[in-house]
Amino acid sequence: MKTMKRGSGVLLGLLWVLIADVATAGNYTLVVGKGIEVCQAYLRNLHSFPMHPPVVCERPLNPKLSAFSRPKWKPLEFWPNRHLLRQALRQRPSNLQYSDEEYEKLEPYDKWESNIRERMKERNMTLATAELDVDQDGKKDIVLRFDTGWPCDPMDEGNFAIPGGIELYVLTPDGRGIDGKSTYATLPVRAGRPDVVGYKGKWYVTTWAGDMNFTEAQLDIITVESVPRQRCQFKYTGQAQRRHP
Amino acid sequence: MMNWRTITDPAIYRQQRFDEISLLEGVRQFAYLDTARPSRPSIGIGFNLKDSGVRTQVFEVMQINAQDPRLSPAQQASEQGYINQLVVALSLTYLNDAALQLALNNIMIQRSIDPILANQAHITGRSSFDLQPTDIQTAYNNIILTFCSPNRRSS
Repeated sequence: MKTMKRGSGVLLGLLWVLIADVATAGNYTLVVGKGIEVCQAYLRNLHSFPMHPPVVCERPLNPKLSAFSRPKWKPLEFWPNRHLLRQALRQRPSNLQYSDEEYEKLEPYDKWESNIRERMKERNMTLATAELDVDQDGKKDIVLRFDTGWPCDPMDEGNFAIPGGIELYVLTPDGRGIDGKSTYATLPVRAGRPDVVGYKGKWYVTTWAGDMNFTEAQLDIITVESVPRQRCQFKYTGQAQRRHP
Repeated sequence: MMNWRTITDPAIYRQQRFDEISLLEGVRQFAYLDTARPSRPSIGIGFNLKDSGVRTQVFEVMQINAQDPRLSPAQQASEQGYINQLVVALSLTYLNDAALQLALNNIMIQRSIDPILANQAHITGRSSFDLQPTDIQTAYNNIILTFCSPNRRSS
């Protein structure tokens, strides 16, 4: 009898988990970009995953929609290329006001490096590059993708509201440094957990921003080249239901 | 006869667009309540902080980021707590600009003196919810880049 009761409890628990997942799948509507091919196609893609959690962290592509693609990311060894992350920090627009000397005082290299070494023990930080023509000048640019190893969870309220953990940068043509100017002109660098997706030969970046109660969010898609920029915006409507960690 | 001058350089166009909006909206370093009814907390050149997309970009330039790779897991959890507090504070109603700024500053002060975050200069050095001119321009560029659209609504 006791075993039966325990069994029912487990079953009920499992049912709750499944119901919670379905309830948070939510719905997407196209708000900006109606009639634009890529926007309509991405909406079809979103609708083809009715059971998927909100696309806060992962934005899957339906293999049946073959016009969509992903960049061919090539892994880049993390430690020998850590200087790229230091440069990325240095080239934040708010840090450009400092001379190298001032910046070194503000964020000493040794301290930064030992901090990164510590963080490497805790999480799997990875770097990867892909060749994409971000400025549409006919020449391929090298884009760096930094995954900070953040355990993104779409059922976590904070992640749902402001997800991150992925950073994108344009590298200099020799691949040895960060091209700050090009990066900030073409890519949403960090906020919204940016993801790169291809559609019929053009590259787009998707980003997510939500509210604290899981009820509303916006998913944006923009072309990576600066002018003219094509944009889609989807509104996500979910249920006011949360799973506490 | 009027002679139209075409701006061919995207950088010049972007700067001019920023300057025009700055002139129209005014540049506000600290948070304020805009003239809409009901009023919305804003900062910079009319960045509506109730809008999740805009808020995300403003937090990003202020280096309020729970996923910052420089933070340890405990620090990330702590930072996430402050972000949640800020988002909640921005959803409340305030009598005036000072009350709004005070509420946000209180959270920023707590964050800047949090012992868990003590070794993070970018956190300890920011005890006020404000945007420097460079931050305003960066936030603006990112907002224009990703989230701004003609018929967007506040969330």
